[in-house]
Amino acid sequence: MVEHQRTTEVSGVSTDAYVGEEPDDTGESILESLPISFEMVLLAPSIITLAILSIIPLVVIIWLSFMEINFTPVNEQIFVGPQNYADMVNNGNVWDAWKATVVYVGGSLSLQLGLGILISVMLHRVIVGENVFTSIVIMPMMIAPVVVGLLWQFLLDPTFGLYTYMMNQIGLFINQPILGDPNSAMAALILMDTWQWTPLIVLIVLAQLKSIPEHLYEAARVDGATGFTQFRYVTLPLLKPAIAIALLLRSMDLMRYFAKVFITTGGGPSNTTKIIGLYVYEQGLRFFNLGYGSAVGLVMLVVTILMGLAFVEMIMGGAGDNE
Amino acid sequence: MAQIALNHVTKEYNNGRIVAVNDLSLEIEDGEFLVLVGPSGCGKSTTLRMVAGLEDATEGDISIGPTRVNELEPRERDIAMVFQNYALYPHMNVRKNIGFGLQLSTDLSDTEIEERVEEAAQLLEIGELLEKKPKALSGGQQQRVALGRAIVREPEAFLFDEPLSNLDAKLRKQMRTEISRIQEQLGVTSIYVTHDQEEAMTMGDRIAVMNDGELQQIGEPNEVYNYPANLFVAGFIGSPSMNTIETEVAADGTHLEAAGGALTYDLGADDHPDPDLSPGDRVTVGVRPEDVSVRAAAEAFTDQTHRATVEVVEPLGSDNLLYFDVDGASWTARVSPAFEPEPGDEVAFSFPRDALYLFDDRGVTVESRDLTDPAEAEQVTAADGDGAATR
Amino acid sequence: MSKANQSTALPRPIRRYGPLAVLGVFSLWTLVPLFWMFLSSLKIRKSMFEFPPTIIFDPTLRYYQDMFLGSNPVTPFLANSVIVALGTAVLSVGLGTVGGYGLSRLDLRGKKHLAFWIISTRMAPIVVVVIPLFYVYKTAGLLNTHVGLIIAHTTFNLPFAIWLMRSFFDEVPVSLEEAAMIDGATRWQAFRKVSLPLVLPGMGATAIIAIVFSWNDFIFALIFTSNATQTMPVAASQLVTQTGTLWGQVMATGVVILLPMVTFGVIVKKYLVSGLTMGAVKE
Repeated sequence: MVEHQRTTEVSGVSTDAYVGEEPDDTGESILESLPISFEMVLLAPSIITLAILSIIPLVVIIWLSFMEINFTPVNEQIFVGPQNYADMVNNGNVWDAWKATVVYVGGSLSLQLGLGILISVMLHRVIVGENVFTSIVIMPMMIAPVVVGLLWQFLLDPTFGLYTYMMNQIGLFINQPILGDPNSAMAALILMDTWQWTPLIVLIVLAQLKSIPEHLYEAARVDGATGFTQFRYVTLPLLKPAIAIALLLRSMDLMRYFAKVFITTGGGPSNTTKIIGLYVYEQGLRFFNLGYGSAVGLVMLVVTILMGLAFVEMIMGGAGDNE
Repeated sequence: MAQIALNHVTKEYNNGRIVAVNDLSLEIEDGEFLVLVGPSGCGKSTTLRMVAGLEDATEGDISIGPTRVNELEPRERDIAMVFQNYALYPHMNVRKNIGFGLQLSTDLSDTEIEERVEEAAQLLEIGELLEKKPKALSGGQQQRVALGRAIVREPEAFLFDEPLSNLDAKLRKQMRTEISRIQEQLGVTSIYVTHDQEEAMTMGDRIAVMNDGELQQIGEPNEVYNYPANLFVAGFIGSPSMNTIETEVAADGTHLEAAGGALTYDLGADDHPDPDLSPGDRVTVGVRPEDVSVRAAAEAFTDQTHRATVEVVEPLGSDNLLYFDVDGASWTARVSPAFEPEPGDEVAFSFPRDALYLFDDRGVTVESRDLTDPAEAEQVTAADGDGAATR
Repeated sequence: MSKANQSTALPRPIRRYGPLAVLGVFSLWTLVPLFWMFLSSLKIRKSMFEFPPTIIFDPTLRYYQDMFLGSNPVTPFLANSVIVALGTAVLSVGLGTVGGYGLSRLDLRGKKHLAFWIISTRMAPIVVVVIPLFYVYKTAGLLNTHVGLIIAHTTFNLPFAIWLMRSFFDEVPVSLEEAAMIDGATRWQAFRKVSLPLVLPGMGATAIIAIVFSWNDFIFALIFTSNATQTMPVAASQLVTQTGTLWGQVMATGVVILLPMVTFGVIVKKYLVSGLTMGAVKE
């Protein structure tokens, strides 16, 4: 702790001769002369930990993607070069998985965004009950994806599901399992995620709505804007940053997680809901094609990193360095 | 108490791409109240922060008392600082806020700290606020707590970083006198940074005017006002600002002519020593608003009368400010409240030879207003001795 | 103008009660599954599968009794979940607070790239981390250990904690620390005695959200644990079997998994948005 005290000076402490008393320099001169700031000392443990936690998997997955790994009959690692990548390009299942991913992510995003904006605007209008309402809507976000999956599987069960029953009452999905049909299965997955995560968009947009100063609306009203034009030309443009953040976070999470799909459909029926994350999981950890799974996984990583870059650019912008 | 000295201090950022303070040398006497004044970005706050130890000087020496402090941490410099946003610790009550420094930097017992805090609180009349958290205080009260935090330490020096800029006008004036009173009472060497020239004029024993990272002039307030070292100081100190117009010395060597021909001025009009000017020299003429006399257009009241159209009349109660255009430059005149022309009226204006400031093409003062007039001489005797140097 | 007014203005009752109605429907859509889950966890097997479903029935606590006192209690799994969640929370928030402070105060060109690298480790798809970690763990003997899962969860909780704590420290004015340093504090003391107390609530929120992330994780836990170190979500998933699912038990287990997390969510509600957006959105 003592050593932290004198580490604030940046490098190049001048040692010019000077008149007057010597400053009481006791000991820490080595640390002081290093180009290390106090902030860096504090940051170092996390950075080192993270480096270990992220660089090791990264190096390993890159290595794996050029290998064929077998555990049986004997442990062996065979270098196969770009073979795994060639397999990936030639494998129609990968493309089907990406297509399913696009449908899943795109469908969820549009539904959640539309619903989220609607709900947050409504919530912003009402004066009472915000506290109760927000307490209610944060609940699904706190629930483990596994539990959400199991719960919806229960609700959509063809013989005793509550929602199946309600659908049957209006003449839909009679003798037709919702999670067993290619079209409705994907729709159900999208609805499931919408149920769980629309609240996040509601809360993000609501926070932004609250930050819009009242006098902007007053100015718009003076300029003759009515309810809809006000929303279109004042509210919506100011919501853009919040919407962008919400969209990026959600799309990354939709790519990252596949537990709900894993639990409910397992990728079926006939691979129609096999999104890319689940595909990589199956290849790598069910069939133990670690090399091939790693190759597809790396592509997935690149896609999410690009999304992440956009996210960081959006919130930190060019000013990030000066913060 | 101690003298503070800056010796050829330079502060660079981004490997020299930005020079915030350039080769600054200053000496603040023991017990003196020095005001650092200048427009925003002029390097005054950086200078103060270097004295505090919150920034490292790139070059040069800073000493407090006999000690060179460049390599010392803020806590080792025995100084106290009042911040623009007060920087009160939100999680501590007023008592803790004021006593925090004593607790950290001295071996005083709790009761001794208690006594010192009470004493400081009494001096600042905030005794009844001691148990409150900063959030519960008004701006003025927070300001007093910040002051209390500084004085309780009995430091070698006080550093003030625009401490009054977050207060409303009335409170600001009140706190101005308060700070001056306390500083005088305690006799602690103080550096006070502000962008407000009025604050600088009223508070400083001496003021140091900075611009673009460089010291423009240092001196007593009246001296800086009456004998500005250059065009920048002339324009910055004084409100409303000094009127200026660019001219050229005419072929005869005694007339100044503005480019558009809007104004000519005969330097030989009075029996005044001619400044060292040759025909063709570019000279900027400056006149303080209070030295401009204005009459209705019909009257030609001196032999050097000029005409202009009034643009705005600003009644201040005690005076009226007239704004008019002189060859593209906006001029101001401070006139008696009885004289109230309408905007658009043509007026005649004049200024005496004595009131003239002249600046050469680099902005350096060639001639300052002559205050040897017996009526005004009394006011400036104090400044006159040093003032000669800047003339 | 008046024409535009007429065409867009809705009748008063709709303007007044419309929003409430929409919010009401949305609340129902959110609550019905939860309500149904809770009810079903109290129903005996027979009434659970009645069609049309029933709302009024004799509640039973049998499934909850079974869960804790039966032949195959979930208590060890619950303990595993708690150990792992606390472990990763302490590790992440401890390192994340100090690191987040460093990142917030760091004045360095390229800081944005550093910040991005930190958060990118959290944005990586789970499976991309799981596969190499699986290989490493298999080699290092960390499979089926608490430590292994704690480390795995820290891969996503630590970057999250650094970023969130950074956003909390960003809100503490630097001048407070400068004032403290002039008052005689060292850099460390300024951090410890001035800035840290001001972000304590944020630290609590970060810890709780980190616990929620860890508690709810499924894929890591599925791959890296065995029977002995299984966490609750994995245990719940295994109640679904080929031969038939004990839905009452599944629902009761679900309630046990979600109840503490929902409670946490309500406790840190104020910080939830900035937490889930890693500080990008402030309420």
